[in-house]
Amino acid sequence: MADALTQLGFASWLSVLIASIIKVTLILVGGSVGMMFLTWYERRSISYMQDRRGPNRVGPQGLLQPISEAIKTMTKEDATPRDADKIVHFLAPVVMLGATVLSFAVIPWGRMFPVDLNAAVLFVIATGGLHSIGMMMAGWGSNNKFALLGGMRGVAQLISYEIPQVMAIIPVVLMTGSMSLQKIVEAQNDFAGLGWYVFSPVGLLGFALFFTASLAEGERTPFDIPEADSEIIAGYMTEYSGMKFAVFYLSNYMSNLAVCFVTATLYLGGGNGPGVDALGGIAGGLLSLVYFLLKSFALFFVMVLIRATVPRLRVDQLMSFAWKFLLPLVLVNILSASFWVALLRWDQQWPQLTEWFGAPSTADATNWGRLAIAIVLTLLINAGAVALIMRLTNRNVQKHLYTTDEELALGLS
Amino acid sequence: MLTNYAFIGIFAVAAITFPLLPLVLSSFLRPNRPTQVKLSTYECGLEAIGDIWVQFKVQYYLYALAFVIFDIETVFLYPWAVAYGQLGLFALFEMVVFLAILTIGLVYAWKKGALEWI
Repeated sequence: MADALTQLGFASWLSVLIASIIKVTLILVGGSVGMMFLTWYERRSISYMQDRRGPNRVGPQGLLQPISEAIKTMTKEDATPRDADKIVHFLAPVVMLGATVLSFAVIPWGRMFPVDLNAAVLFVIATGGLHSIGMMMAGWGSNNKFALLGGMRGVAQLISYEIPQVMAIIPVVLMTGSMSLQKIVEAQNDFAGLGWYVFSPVGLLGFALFFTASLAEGERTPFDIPEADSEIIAGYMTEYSGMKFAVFYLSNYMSNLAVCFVTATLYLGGGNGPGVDALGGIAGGLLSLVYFLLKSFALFFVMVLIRATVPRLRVDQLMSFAWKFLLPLVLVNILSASFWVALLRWDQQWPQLTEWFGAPSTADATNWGRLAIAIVLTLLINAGAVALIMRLTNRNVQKHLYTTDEELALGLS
Repeated sequence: MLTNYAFIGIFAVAAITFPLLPLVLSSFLRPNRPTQVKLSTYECGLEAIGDIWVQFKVQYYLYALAFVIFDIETVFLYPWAVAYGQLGLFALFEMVVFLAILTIGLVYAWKKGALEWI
């Protein structure tokens, strides 16, 4: 876009600036419209799952409900408590939503990349990490017991789940050899656009772990402890009303949307799909955008489905799930990913092994054989780790169910 | 490369204005009639008793420590993952050793009960 503007006679810096501003506006408008649609989509679909109708009065099928709610929150009075730290109280929603919006900067829209950072994965992680700061500010600045409890719980949850989330991406980076989202999407374009990472054993486990940890990062049920309304009112949002509350709500949905986009990019091949390369040009780009949005909304539907079916976890269950279930599996997954990459790229990157065992021929048959060995090996490691950790968790649960605390303290059982 | 980060800079400015816009806009539209009761701290309808900033259990601190340890480990793991293709067999053994040390640390914290929420 910048080149076209330069040809029109603008100075080069000016054309870059104008192109960037147009892109930013498009992304922000698209993001907010998408978020509005998602609130309606979630409420409608969860209503049908619970045998009711949901919002269906404002506009066709209730599609204008989010707009009416935006107007309603705009005109609501906004009370800041007398004892609150006014500045921190005001800045908390700004930090939350600002960080979320910033993570949209690097997301590829199908084959359209607004920007190609070589550290895009790190950028997404970093902007996600800013959430805990906003939450702590909201909890601390409100000067309310419930808010502080919710803020502390929320930060403990966010930092606990950040580790499995961040580490689950490492296999993807390993397989690509780059942290640029564009390279990651390009690397998943084999097999007529279907060489997605989720189809490899390593990627499958990574996908499951990343998506689960992201549910907790986005405070979705069953991990919505920070705002568990039956326990601590509304958690860190207790003292927020009017537009500030709406900004928190907006940030929540936009971060869930961003998580769906990132998961679709990292594991489900982004905009890749059958027919994109064959069409090429603008039509191929549009098709890739359609694929990308379809994948993301399918992921969001899974989120809604989980919300409708799984009850909320207890705080201790939540913590041990992150540290004793997700984290060991993530470590095993990194190990098997390194084996996977080593087996598949043996001749390119393993000169020593080639010296010892002879160079594998590049004929297709051998490559298929190596692929089969890699699949069996990593599948065995990953499935074994999952089975083992499930057994351990089950035994722990039964121990706590059937033995008394005294026996546990003495180590009798 | 520089244009890429210029784009991120512009996006950052937009990201800060994005939440401020509705907040400022609503301040022109909404009513503002504060009363003494409305501005009091919410606590089940009663006057708030005692200090708000209470002591917290030490468990939060242990989790924060464990988080710092594992976060630093990810800082080491990312460059390794990017350069894995160029480093050859050495990188694999090195990282197996590193992951083993990590796992020992995790098992130690687990056995010591640092990961229990009591």
